[in-house]
Amino acid sequence: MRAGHLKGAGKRALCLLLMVSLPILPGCWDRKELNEIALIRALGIDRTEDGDFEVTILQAIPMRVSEGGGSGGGGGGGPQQMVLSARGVTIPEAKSKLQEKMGRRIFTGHQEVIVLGKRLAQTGIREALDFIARQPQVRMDSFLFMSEGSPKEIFETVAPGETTATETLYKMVKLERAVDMTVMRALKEVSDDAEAAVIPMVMKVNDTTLKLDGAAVFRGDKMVDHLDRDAAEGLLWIRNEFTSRTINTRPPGEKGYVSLVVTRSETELIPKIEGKKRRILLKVTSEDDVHYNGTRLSLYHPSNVDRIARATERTLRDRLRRTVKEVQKKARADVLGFARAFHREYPEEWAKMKDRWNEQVFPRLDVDIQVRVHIRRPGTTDRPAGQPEGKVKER
Amino acid sequence: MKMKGGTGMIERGRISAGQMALILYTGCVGVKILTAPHLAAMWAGRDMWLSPLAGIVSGLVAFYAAYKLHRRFPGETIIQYSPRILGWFGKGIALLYWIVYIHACSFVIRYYADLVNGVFLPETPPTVVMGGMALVCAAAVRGGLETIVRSAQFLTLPAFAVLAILTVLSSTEWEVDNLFPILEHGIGPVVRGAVNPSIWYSEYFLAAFLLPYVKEQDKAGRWGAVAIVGSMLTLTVFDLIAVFVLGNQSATFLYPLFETFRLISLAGFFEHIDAFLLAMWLTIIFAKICLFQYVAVLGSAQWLGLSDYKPLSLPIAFILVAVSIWTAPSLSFLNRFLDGEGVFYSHLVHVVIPLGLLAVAWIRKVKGTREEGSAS
Amino acid sequence: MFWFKGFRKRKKRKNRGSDPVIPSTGEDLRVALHPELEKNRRVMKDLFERCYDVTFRPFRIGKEIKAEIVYIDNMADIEELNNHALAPLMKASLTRPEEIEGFLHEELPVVSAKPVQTFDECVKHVAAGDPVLFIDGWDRALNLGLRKWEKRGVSEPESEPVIRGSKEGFIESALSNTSLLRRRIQSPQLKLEEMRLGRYTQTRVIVAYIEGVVNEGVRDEVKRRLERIDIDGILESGYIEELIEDNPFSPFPQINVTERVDVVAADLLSGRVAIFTDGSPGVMTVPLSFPTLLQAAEDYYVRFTYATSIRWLRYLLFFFSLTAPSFYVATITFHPEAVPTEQLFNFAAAREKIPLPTVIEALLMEIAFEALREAGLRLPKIVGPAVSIVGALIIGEAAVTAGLVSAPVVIVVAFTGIASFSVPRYALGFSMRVLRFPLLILAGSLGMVGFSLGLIALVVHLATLRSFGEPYLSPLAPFRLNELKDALWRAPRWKMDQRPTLSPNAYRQSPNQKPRPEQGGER
Repeated sequence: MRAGHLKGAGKRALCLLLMVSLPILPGCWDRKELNEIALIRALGIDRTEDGDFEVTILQAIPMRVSEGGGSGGGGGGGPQQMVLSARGVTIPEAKSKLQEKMGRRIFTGHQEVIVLGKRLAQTGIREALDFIARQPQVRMDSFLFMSEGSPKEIFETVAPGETTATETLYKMVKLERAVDMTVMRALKEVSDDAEAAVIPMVMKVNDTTLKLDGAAVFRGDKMVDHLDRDAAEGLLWIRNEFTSRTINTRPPGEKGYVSLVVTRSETELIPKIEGKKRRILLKVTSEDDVHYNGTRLSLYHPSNVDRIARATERTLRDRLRRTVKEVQKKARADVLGFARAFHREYPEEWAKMKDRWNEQVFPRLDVDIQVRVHIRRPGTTDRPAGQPEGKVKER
Repeated sequence: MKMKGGTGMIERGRISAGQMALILYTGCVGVKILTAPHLAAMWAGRDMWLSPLAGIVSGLVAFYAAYKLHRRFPGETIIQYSPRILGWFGKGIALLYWIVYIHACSFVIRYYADLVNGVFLPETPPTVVMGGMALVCAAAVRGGLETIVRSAQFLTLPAFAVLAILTVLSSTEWEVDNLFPILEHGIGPVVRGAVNPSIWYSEYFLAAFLLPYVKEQDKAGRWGAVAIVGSMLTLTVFDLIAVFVLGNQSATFLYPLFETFRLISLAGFFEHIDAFLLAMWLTIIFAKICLFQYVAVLGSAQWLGLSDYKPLSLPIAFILVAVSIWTAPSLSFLNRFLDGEGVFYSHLVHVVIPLGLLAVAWIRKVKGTREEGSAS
Repeated sequence: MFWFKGFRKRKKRKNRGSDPVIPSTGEDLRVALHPELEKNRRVMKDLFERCYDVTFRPFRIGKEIKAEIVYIDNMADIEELNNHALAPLMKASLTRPEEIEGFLHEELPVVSAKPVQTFDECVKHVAAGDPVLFIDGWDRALNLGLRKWEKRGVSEPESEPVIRGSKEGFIESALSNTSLLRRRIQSPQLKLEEMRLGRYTQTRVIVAYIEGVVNEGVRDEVKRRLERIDIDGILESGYIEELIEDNPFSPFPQINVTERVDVVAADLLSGRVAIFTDGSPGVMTVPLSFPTLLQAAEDYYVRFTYATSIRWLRYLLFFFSLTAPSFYVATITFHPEAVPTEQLFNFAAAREKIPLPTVIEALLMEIAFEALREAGLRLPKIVGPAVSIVGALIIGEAAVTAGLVSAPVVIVVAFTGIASFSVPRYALGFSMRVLRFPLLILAGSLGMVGFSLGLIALVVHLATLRSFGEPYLSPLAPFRLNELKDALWRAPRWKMDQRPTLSPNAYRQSPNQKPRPEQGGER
């Protein structure tokens, strides 16, 4: 028993010794002190003319972020970031060249935005996605953007009030003005049935302003088309990515416009195969509030409300039609989710047509669009505000 | 407590049937919840959530074999009754089991170390990562079966509760549509995808080492079945979540659980919790490694006829660390093995041999001696 | 090391809910007294068997009639008893028992003197502190209202304050302590066994338990371990604690030490054993399970909903007090991606000019905090608060300004300190303070993995521990469903009808005592 105690005590002493020596030993292998890492907020990947990768990073400088907040915005403003870029045959090579330019270790755990250049997009984004997916630290929910020019110029555009360009981009997506395309979603879409993805485009307006500029359409991993703002919005409708937005419409026979705010909307895709004919029904149901009434119509009367609703349906249908046409004929890339719908409803037929989907089937698909608009509330007034009694059009 | 030489009960602790079920359950799902559905998804695509259902057969058979053998030889483990059935050849089989569990345990340790090194601590030497865990487990094994089950109970129940909460939280990311169409390519791929889960299921045979020490013998069988069904449900749920959240990318990632839960964002503040998830998962994998290490230690003591197994826990921990370094050249090899040949290996050990032993014992009418069994 | 057979054997509780048998305290005592003194004495002796403080004083009334006074030391007023009962009785010139009644009425100068007829009344009075007089040849006994309850020196225990509940605390005298307890549990089943330990000090050590409720395995084991002690002196209960605990190397207390009378009484009623040590206000109760350490006495006196939520808060704070610094270090230095971006930038800005690694920073602050706490404790009471406030303010602020540590670390350490004060038992606080450091070092070297492994190792240790044969983590592991109602939450009093598994006497109270308004009571 006594020997046992001694042994126990010896072992305990040894344990203690080991524990104490742990931090002193070459240990702390993976420790990274906050003042020894460079916090990367955004990553830009593009290709150069000679086919190399160009990697741009946006490093936020924490000292300034905090001081800017502390001194109540009085201290100068100015970007609190550093943008660096480097080239390499592979992305990691470019990244390691970047590392050579910095005293701090690159840390990508807070990389929230990834901007891909157009040249890269046209040659294929698969390598970039692989690089991002393979790294353990990188956030799979960071947002993807496309830029017409180099990502570098996007990063250098810092809005007043924001400390880095990342914030603007990040907040833009959070407002749901564009497809919130995360890395994970892009991976899913690129390898999904349709093998097509869409990534929002961003452009520089001037030195301090960035602007969303429609969306880039990818077939496989290559960019094939650039949808403009309206078409991109139609895309959001069809993909059932509801965001609160407004629709303007002009009821027939009226002079002004009426704006509706969409409070709820639902899109259904109903595929149908009749013999050789393949068609798909796009059924949009939306609930709206009146936001602005530029006409003289009184919303007291349900019939007037109906007129506006019908007019809106027409507007919406036209817009969706345009988007579908553009995607079908010009891009020939099914970013609308039709492939999933067919696959789900007709698995057997799908197996036969999946190889030639984007090239042959999708562009020739008959698309029926059915829009239902329900105006639920007229806002806080039902008459056109500021109109003399006599000029209000009751019916 | 009277000590009965080599063949007596060298484990003095007694566990309840529920505790046995919990540790077996943890042992079954421990690694699998992390990697599910990575291997199954490769084969079964979006139907991989059905593969745990297909794999359950091996779990049931393995547990049945262990249970029947236990009823025949109460109070003994396979190391003890296999020589009783087959003589010197049985002694050899017992040795095989010892080696198998050292090997299996090294696999689990390796899996754990590969996750930690691959995702969280790339620069830390694997020996430190493995050694730390093996040491903690050795301490638990030294404390005996009761210590193992109690710490497992204390640690894994909250961990599973948190996982359940995270599962609910992940519902904002669910796309239930990913599930359809169901069984597009028939049942074949699902069965192929079940290969990997069935390996983990077959480990329910480990009950052969726990059943002798269960207090409520009459409840043991029922609790075992509960555990098997429970693990099936758990794996199905985790597979389903992977389908819902990751969709066609389920097969892409080695650790889908982490990828899934990393996407959870609560109030924009509570994000990227994979490090905390790791802390949670470590408690689960601890229970699993403990179980295997315990079996290896107990088995070696019983095979050698020692009167106590506790002094062996530390040396075996060192052996395990060494073996886990040698056991596989790469993670890809490990995964490939667990998705291919491994199925024959594990089913040979956990299903075929036990059933064979049972048959021989039945034919030769060998039975355990009652009085040793009555110690429980 | 010790293995009690049948120790943890579960009682069969099949009749739960229907009609549990609640044994009364001993056999039915409503038996009339016997005229013969010898017989009465024997019964009383039996009843108060193993109660060191119950005194039997035989004497003769008027040198003729045999009589005996039974009383409890320190609960009866000895002076009064001597002067106004014993003296007149001894001097009385009585010869025949028949005269006694008259004498008692006419000549005994005691205000309250009532004849009692049955044993249960006798026992009741004796246990409450009144001396009882037995006279040979008289089939009654006389209850003398001469109880004197100790009041001086009893004050609120400073280490375990409560808002609601008794402010009564033990003092240094074992005799008064046991009388305090007797006043709480007025039953002859409360046994107090005396022992003298320490070759020179001859310290009085008293083992208290309730016969029929106590787990006899534990009781015998306590006595065995106490008897084994051979030491020159025992000056504090801590001496005994270290000599009888199960695992002397564990950082965790395995014996509960309290200064509260109600806590000891409640422990005895749950089947535990208490050990009083003369010269120490700390009374030890065994066995101890870990969740008990996080329960305050007051939990049982306030509304159960509130008690439950406070308990959970306490569990949480306890966890924080153990892990907060190491969790912070592991997250900041190994997994910064887990910190919300904006928050991380603030942390990073705060850390920008700090040369020390975060672990060392945290260690430094922890040590400083412990130093403050220790200094505040040891200094004279008047200076103490000044030191801690000045220390906390100046050192924290100055250290941040000087760029020695960063502000977040100061916050974490301060929060840890506050959290650790919420642990109701001081002894557990010690363990936490000690364990925080190794955990911090582990987290600083292996990040979340080290942190987690450290916690797992801790749990493994806790799972190995036993306190007098009782698993330390019970009722959480092993899982005991019917005891969880006092661990995971605090069930209402009418739900807590069972004692812990420990006690062989399963039922505490009759079931179905949930109060409900009477029919038509809505008025």
